[in-house]
Amino acid sequence: MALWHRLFIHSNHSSHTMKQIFSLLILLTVGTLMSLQAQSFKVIVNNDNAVTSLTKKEASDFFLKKKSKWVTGTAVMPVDLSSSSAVRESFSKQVHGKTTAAIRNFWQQAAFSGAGTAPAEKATDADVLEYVKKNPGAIGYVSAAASTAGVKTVPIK
Amino acid sequence: MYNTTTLSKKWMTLAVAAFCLTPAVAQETEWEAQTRITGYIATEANYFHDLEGTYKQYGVSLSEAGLLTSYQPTSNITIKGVFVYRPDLTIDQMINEANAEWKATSFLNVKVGRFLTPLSPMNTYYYAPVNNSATLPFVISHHEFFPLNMDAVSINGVVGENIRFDYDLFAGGYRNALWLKTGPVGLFGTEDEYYGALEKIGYKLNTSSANQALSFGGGAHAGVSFDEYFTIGANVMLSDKEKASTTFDNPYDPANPFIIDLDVNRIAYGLNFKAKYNNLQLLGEVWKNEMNFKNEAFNLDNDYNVNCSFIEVSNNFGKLIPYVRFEYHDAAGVEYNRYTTGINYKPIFETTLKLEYLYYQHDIKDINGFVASVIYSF
Repeated sequence: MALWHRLFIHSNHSSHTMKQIFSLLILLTVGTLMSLQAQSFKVIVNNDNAVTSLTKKEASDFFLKKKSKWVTGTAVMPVDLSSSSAVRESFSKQVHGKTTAAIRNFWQQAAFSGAGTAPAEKATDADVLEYVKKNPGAIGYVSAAASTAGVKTVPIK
Repeated sequence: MYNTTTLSKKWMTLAVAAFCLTPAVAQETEWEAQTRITGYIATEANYFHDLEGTYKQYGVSLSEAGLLTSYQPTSNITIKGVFVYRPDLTIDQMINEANAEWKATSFLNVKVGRFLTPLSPMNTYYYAPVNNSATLPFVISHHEFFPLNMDAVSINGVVGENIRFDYDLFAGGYRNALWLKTGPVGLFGTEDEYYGALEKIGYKLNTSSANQALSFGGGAHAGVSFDEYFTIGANVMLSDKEKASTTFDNPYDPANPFIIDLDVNRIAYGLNFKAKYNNLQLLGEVWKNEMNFKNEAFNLDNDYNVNCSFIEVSNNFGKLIPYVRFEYHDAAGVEYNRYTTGINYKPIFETTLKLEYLYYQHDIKDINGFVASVIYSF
């Protein structure tokens, strides 16, 4: 009986320790993923744009062309990274709350129904930066590590 | 003192300066011409239990293969072409859309060419990858209320952002405003004929003749949307002297029925609504078509009314969308209901799988069957 009791206690104790380690690992993984996601892109606009920050909904509406003008009346010109970009996946999930595939579905439906066309797509951060520099109404996003000299970074609240 | 010539010269100079400066201002935004290509291939299998007549019980076919190209040379001009292969259609019928649209402002767009008739929002889900269901509601698949597309001019636009009003006025030529069969078994679009034959109705409108003649008509759509939560719209389609033909039983020679050409006048009108809460969506439409068929030589003057409605509920779980739809249909007294339920599974953007069960309810005979489709899109 004593042996069984000891084994039971030991087993219970080790199970408890395992649970603690497992919980810690989950917390660490989620924390790392969250911090990676939080830092994976920067939203940028033209230097002449007066906007200082945007909510997720405002940014999403601009990229989905649900809002077509800035408060100044300038036409909004969103630009996306290509659909295979990891930065775009992160942007889609955090700003639109959907996967890039779901956003592509949205644009496919809009294209076939005549409701609208998808934003211009650029292959690299440099191309997005160039587009935003050239167009006063442009809004884009680049990887967090990209230099954003010559454009304005806009925090997403 | 300025004389009128001097004043005119000054105005001319100002006008020329304004004309020259306008492009300079426009050049602040450097528009890059955009070309987009997207397309899909849909393969469909149908199985129906115990169909009467010459229908096959099952079949598999390449049901649709579509290609959409659009070109935007400037920010406010879009040129669009959509080619969709469907079995048995002519090349002309496969050119679903070929149009140019000029957006003067958000509330004034002008579209010219061939485009989907902007009367039912469901008509914009005509293409397989963007339709939740593997089949289209009767309102769209039967073409009894309005044609799928028109060669026409449309003036349309949207006003407002959170509460949006939209309108569309259009007029032009069209074909295929009466029935067009689809699906490997050929039942979809011909249900009126199928049940008309079961009820031993002594005459039937010929589907093929109705798709040949070029008719003229026009219509209007007006709608209001409250953010993304609720949309309601009203629609009307009018046309004068469409051409069709009808077949009457010949009691003296049943093998050679009478075929009589008809002039068709119509007014079709309907309401559509959509309600959305999170990922749950409710769609519905109610339509009535008042048609009149005439042939003065045979002293024919018949009314032919069609009533149709549907309601569809779906929930988007991301990759999986289950849906349920109920439809009511009454074509000049040939009445039936259809219950549809299915799932749309899209594991990746490029691939969609649909599996659907259909149950037709009719006084003489019920039909049930399955539709499965695989769609590859890019």
